[in-house]
Amino acid sequence: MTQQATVITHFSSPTWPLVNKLSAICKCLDVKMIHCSTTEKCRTIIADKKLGRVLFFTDEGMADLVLEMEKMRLPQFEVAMLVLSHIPSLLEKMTALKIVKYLIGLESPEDYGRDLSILIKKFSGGNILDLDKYLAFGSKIHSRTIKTHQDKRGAISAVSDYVANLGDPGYDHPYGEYSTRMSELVDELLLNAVFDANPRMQNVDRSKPFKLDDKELVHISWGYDGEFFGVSVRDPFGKFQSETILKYLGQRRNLEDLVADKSGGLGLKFIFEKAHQVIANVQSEQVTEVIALVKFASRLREFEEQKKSFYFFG
Amino acid sequence: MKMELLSNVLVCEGILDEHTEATDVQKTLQAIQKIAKGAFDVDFSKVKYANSTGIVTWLKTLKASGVTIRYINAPVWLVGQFNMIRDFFENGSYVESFCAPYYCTSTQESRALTLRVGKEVPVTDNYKGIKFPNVAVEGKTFEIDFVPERYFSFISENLKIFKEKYP
Repeated sequence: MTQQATVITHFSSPTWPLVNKLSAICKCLDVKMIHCSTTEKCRTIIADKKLGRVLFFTDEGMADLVLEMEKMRLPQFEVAMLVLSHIPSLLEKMTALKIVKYLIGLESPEDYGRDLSILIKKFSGGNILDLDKYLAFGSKIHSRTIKTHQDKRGAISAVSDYVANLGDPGYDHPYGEYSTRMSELVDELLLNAVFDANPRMQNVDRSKPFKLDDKELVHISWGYDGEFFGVSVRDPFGKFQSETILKYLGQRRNLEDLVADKSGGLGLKFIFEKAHQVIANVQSEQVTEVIALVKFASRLREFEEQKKSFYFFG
Repeated sequence: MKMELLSNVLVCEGILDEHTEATDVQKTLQAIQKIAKGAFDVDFSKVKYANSTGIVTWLKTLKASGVTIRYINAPVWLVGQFNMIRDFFENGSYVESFCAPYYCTSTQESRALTLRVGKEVPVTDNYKGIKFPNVAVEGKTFEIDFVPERYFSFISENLKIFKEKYP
């Protein structure tokens, strides 16, 4: 564990239950936490050059302060922002995209435990690559390797069947609809890993069969813990950047804007639309693992209303 | 994705993905252009889902063709696309009927039921507060399982087109 990691918190309105929750998690993980009750105190602390790596917890009400921090160019700072607005609408207005690495949909502090402990643990130096770290203990993880277009199709079918079979076969359950949505999600994750992330594949005709070299193989794994379905796709390129992702998660909806360059903008938007939590783990030029977590509710309306979060670890 | 051009409807089947070639879509749309008098019906109900590459192929080719489409029996995944990307309504294309999720609280069953624009779904710029009646299916009562102002946003955000078609 890196001893120098510090968590600093400052919110636009008093949120003691949340501050207490963060304080408890930081103590459990042996991470130093400083809560700033005023913006003035916050500015003084930010200016301290001896801080080392800092995870700055705030909310969208402090967007101007975050913009100020981005202009100060603080490479050791990463911002986690609690978001009340619809995330794509917020991203439309937000310009501080380099320093913001985590967007967390606002909910009651009692429900934050899972998100916050993953975030702080990872930030403080814990290795949380691999899907099994995100699903409840004991969940069976299934996996496949993608080398050809048939492997891609086969993996999507396997995930689709897995989700469809979670429900009772003689009953009209929502898993049929979830199966379709997970097919779309997995297809986008694989398109991104096979074509967009791989420099050799970016300009190839996607309608033609493909065969990846051994050093280009893509790995997919998936599982369900009774509450969350998770899927992880890993490529050996490490090209993902948080600002690229955030740029495309914004509310732009004209095809021309979304496919203007070769970064798979529309695909990123689809991924975020289908998942409740998207976690990107990137080791630059080595590996990108994108994990999508989805909460299967008993009603589709509840599914649609789940809060969304985005985490970038790189 | 397979496309079968019948006398008055294009029936699509399979998956709209990178294996759907732009040239095939182009040929089909050119054939439609020769026979269509106004908007031509396209039925995606047998298409399981689409990925971003397939959507880009469909929309770019559709835009270039100048053909006007009337989407019929649009599945739930396609409604999601209508609400995400504006380009589906290029060339004056619009939606006649589509599926929407419904839920029976007594049996906890989920079903996708078909709704028609201008009939079960009024054309308006704001769906907030509008009550949609429950539907009886096989003796069970189903209620809407979506947020109307979000699910019908493809209508409210393209009001001019839909008002023209469903005055």
